[in-house]
Amino acid sequence: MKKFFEDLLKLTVIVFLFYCIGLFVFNSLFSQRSRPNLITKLGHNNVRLQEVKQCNDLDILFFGSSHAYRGFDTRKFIEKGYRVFNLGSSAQTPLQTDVLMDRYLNSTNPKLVIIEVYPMLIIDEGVESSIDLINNDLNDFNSFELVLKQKNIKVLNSFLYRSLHDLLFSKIDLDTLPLGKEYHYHEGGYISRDLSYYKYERFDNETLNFPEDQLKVFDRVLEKLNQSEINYILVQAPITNAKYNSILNNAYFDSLMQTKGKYYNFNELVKLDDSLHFYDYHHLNQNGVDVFNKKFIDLVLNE
Amino acid sequence: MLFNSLDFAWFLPLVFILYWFFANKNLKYQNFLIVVASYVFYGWWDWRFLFLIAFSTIVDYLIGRKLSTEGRLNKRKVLLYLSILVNLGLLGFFKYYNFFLDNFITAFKFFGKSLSINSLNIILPVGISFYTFQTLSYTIDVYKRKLTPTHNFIAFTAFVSFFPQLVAGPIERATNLLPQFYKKREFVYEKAVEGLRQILWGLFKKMVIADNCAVYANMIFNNSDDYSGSTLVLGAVFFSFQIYGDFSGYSDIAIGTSKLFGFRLIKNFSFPYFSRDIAEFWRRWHISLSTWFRDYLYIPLGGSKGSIYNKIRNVFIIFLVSGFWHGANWTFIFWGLLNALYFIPLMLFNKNRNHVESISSNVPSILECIKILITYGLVVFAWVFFRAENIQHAISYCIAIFDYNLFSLPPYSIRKLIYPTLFLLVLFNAIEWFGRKKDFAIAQLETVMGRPLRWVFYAMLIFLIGMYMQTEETPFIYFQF
Repeated sequence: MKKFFEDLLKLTVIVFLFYCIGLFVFNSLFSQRSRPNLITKLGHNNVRLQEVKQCNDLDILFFGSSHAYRGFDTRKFIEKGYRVFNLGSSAQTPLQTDVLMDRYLNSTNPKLVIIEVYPMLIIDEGVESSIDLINNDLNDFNSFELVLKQKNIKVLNSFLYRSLHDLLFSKIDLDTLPLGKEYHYHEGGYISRDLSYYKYERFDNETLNFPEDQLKVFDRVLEKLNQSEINYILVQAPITNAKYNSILNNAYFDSLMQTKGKYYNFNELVKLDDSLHFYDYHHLNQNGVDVFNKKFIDLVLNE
Repeated sequence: MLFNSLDFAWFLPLVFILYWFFANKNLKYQNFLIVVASYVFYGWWDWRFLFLIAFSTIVDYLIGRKLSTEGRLNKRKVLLYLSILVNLGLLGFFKYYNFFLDNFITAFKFFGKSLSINSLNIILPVGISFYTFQTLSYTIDVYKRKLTPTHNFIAFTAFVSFFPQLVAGPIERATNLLPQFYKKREFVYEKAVEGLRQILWGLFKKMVIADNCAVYANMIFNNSDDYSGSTLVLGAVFFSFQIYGDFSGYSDIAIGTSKLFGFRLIKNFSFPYFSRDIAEFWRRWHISLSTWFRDYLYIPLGGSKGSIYNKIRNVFIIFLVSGFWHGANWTFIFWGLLNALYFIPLMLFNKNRNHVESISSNVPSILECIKILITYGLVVFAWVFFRAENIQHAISYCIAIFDYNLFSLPPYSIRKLIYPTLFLLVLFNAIEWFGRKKDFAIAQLETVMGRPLRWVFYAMLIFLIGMYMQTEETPFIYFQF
């Protein structure tokens, strides 16, 4: 029996070494399509994460998904004299908001935090966003915690690869995919897109079930803000009516969010046209961003 | 609890440690721990079905004991029929009730009568077809006096619910497995290592081969109207490897896990896609079920003895029942029928035992290659019926295969995606081919590779699992049966 466990331990070490070497070999030899569980280049978040390190004493710090970094045009806020930063990231769920807060809340020292809440992402596992964070930021114990919480092989592989890469090679050598030609990064983390328009599509009706564990993490995020005595506002950014109306329990989500803090649902507060103000079913085009941001500043900030 | 889940990754080492370190003192503890572990394992899905398996266990245990004291043939027959009635009754209710009801309603409608009975919302208990057949084999063997009935209730409960093979086999015979519960198991290093090796191979088959093939098989079968003949053939080929990797992978994990606890289960697959005719295929595919039907149905019916009519009838019966065992759907029955049609000519011309041994040479002759390809083609064609949603879907799928696009390349949208899976299939078949003379493909590693190379090979398999496994746990196909 002793020999059995000894051999098992030795084998585990060999497997770990082989696995790590394999990650680098596969990453160099094969395209993303041929190694579906090893994602080493994802997102454009590193530019944003480099910039946030230089920020301090902000007036407003935004968190949330692509609705945040494509919906809150930092230029509009800077014009009005606010010091702002948009820390939204692809498909950000409360899990990743929590990690980002741990890393950047103290250094940015914001007066107000805006958390963009999208019901579809409260029910999301957050794999995409975790990989985005792991690949585009330096990894610490929080990243390891993400791996343990997600229990997803893609997150684990990205974490192993990125940690070893950072350990063995340059720590800032982040081989991130460049933004598409139609996208433009702006100071403060906002990403604009060349003007295009949404074409109508039909969505099946659905009722969303919000998992307890994500809501618990969400509560923890809010608790951190309370402890730091930072004001926060929860905002649901507009999506197309086609998609919004297909979610049958919007009212429930609104009431749930209202129990957590000051909350604005801009699907109900601003009149937008699906075909004029969006480029896909849940992202505003620049026309939509302009209308939304004006309303947001008038309603939320001026108040 | 799935073998390919994180739950099982905790459960197995925990039970292993408890078994060898704490329950190792005597046989009773070992068996009791197996019963507890098995009930936890089964109850993980739905604890309510534990009552069902417990009921089935108690009934057959009591009938077995009664049979041991009952000498009168009539009474013994009554006891046997009672066991069959209870076991097949439960199976029939949970698995076939709605099927028969729907077909009765359709039949009545056909004759102009309307029948208004609502079907029931019945959840099929996982593995019911497997453990039902296992307990039935016990009662039948006791009735036939091939087996002494057990008086050890814990051993019998452990035999019925033994967690490695409880939900998808191999369907064990009481004559093989039950006596193993009477003897205290001792830890044997070589056996445990072989068990781990077989588990690893089973996981590779399931998580890499089956699950990746399933992606494309599902894509093609679910949208079969959109694809050309060549793509539909590809879909059927992917399904053939999905079902093989899935089911034989499960069997390997089950057998490997049993070895870790000192048990030896029967072999369930023996490289069926290298068969040279359908008879050989059926000696190599789902062996525990085929032999069950052979011993408890085919031979009692007369087997291959008697008139040609009897022989043909018996073959049809066994294949139709086998199809029906898989599920309450006409597609499975048609699949069974098709296999009977493949088999009958071989039997009538006494060719059904031409290929009893594996191909000995590592380089098969051209004739052997042709035979293997033809047999594989027939099997794949039958799988279309097994996989299709219904008979109409299967027929339209088969017709569409033979359209004018049969010899064209599948569309680029499919081709660009499948190369990694095709590469994995080539690697998998090569390993299977060179390991075909052993119980499982990588069993021979012990003899052909030194330890360092062997360990690198294991590491490679684990790496490939990490690279190509699906991110969501996928259940095994045979759980639904």
